[in-house]
Amino acid sequence: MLTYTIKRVLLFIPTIIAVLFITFTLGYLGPGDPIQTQVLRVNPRLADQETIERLREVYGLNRPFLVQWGDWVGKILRGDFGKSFATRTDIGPTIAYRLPISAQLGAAAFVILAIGGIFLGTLAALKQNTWIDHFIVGLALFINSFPIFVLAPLTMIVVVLWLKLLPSTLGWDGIFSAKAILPILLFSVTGWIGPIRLTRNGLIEVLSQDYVRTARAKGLPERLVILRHVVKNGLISTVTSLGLTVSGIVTGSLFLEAAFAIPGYGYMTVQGVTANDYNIIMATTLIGALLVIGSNLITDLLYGVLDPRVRYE
Amino acid sequence: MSESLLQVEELETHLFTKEGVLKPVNGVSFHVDRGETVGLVGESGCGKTMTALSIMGLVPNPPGRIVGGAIQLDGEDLLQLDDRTLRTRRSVQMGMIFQDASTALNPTMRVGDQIAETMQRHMGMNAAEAALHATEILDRVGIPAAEQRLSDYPHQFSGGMRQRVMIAIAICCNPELLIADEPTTALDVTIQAQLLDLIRELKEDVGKSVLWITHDLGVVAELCDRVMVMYAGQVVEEATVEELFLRPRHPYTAGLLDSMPTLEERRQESLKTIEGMPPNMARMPSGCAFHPRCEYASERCVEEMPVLERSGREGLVACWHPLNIEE
Repeated sequence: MLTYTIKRVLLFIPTIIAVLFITFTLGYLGPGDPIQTQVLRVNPRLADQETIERLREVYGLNRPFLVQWGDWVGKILRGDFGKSFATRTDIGPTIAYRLPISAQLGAAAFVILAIGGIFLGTLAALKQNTWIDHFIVGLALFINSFPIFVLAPLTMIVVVLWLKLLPSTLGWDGIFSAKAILPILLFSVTGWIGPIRLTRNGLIEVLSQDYVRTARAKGLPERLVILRHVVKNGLISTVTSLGLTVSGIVTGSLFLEAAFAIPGYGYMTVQGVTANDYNIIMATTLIGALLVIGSNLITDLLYGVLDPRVRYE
Repeated sequence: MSESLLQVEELETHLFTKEGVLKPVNGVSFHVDRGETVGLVGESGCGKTMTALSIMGLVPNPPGRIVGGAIQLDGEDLLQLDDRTLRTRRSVQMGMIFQDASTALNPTMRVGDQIAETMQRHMGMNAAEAALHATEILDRVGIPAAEQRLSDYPHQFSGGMRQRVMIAIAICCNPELLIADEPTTALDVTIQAQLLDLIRELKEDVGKSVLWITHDLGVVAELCDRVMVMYAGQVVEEATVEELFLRPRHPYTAGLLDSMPTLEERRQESLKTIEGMPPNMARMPSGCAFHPRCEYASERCVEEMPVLERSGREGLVACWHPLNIEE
């Protein structure tokens, strides 16, 4: 397990370098000139070639590509993400304030997504082809087929305006406030279909395996057969997929936070993109990518814990 | 009847499928005496494995269900027991060795735990006692460095060693009856011979009864005292090994024996086979199920199903025109 872990972690390093490079290249080559955009926004009359050149120099954007990249990476390693063009404030502290909000939201959603998904998937597998199975899978699929930017206003209208079950849900009062309920639920329930389907299929496949018959032939009670022999083997693919839902949560937060006006990482990304705020776009892209890579690393390690055959390869 | 360890009477296990009711076990009766090794022989799909699973109470449901008959083990009808009680009989009174150990062992569980959990369940051992006992059992089935190997996973064992682990699981609670479902089929011949030796040794040590399911008549000759031949869900012949090989009564048995290659045969001669295919379970022929493939078939065979009857001094056969009957 130790060699496996070391191998995985070492593989992590080149991936990060690649992400740093690609993120920067995308920002560098992407459409829209950041200086021009800013100048036009502040005062279109100043948009003469000379001013633009001078600003380029101030921001160091006239240097060779690789030098700029090296400079950028060096700053990021020191936690300096540069300044926002729009607000002229440092991005680092903004992220430090906003990311925890999204992290709480994402973590709460992830827990409900994982536990609920596995529970419902297991139920569907054990009641295979009964109405319970069809109901669970059908409902999850139905909910999943709405995009979140449709579902968010729809549920707000129904829950807040019509049924008046919750007070206004816009904004952020912390994870344990009534305002957090709807976004967390939407976030997790819309993603349920993934773990439900994988858990269901994984368990059904394992239930027909020879070693489950062996476990029964031993005379173990059905409870132990399911817990020891079926669930552990059947959940391997679910656990693997849960790591991948993290990327879904990261991208999902863009729409969700915008819809609920939650001042988190996703909202910041959307604001940055719409304003063509070069430094914010790169910072949020990088953080999103790191979150996804990090969760993939954790998935890989968990995979090794769950399946000994992977570990010894 | 009471001296038999296992007495199966008119067992009927049906599969309820969309295509109709299939009858892989269609009125099977036989017995296994204490200390006896009995072979159950037949082609693939003739109902051997389903018979074994019926005895263990492991018929996959759906689609399968035991619809009739009785299975007496040590004087107790297993079919009358509720699930909970039946579970306490598994491992302790009957253990089963499955065909393919590479799929019949849990890939994510340490081998030691797979043996130990059985003993913890049935013999009231704690984890430490069970682990100690598991080492002994692994040692007994001939796995070198048993203590270290307890913490290995199945994929770290070779095919033959895996099957030994499978045997260890089946015998760890000292069952009276050992059911072996083609345990050597997936292995090469030298490993197969080693395992047959192992089973024979184990049997001599403890004097247990064995029901050995196989399609390999060579293994039967090697290991068994008595043989039942199954065809299309029914026992068609039962005899001592010697009788069966010298004087097969049922044309199907004779065909099986004929299709075994021998050393004397000239190389150019092609391998003899039984003409035709085993019947489709969904469309069974009338009368004797073997009549479409039988060279001795008559009107009567098409119309009337033969029953298993005593023939000669020992042995039973279900055939209207049995062979090798000398009065």
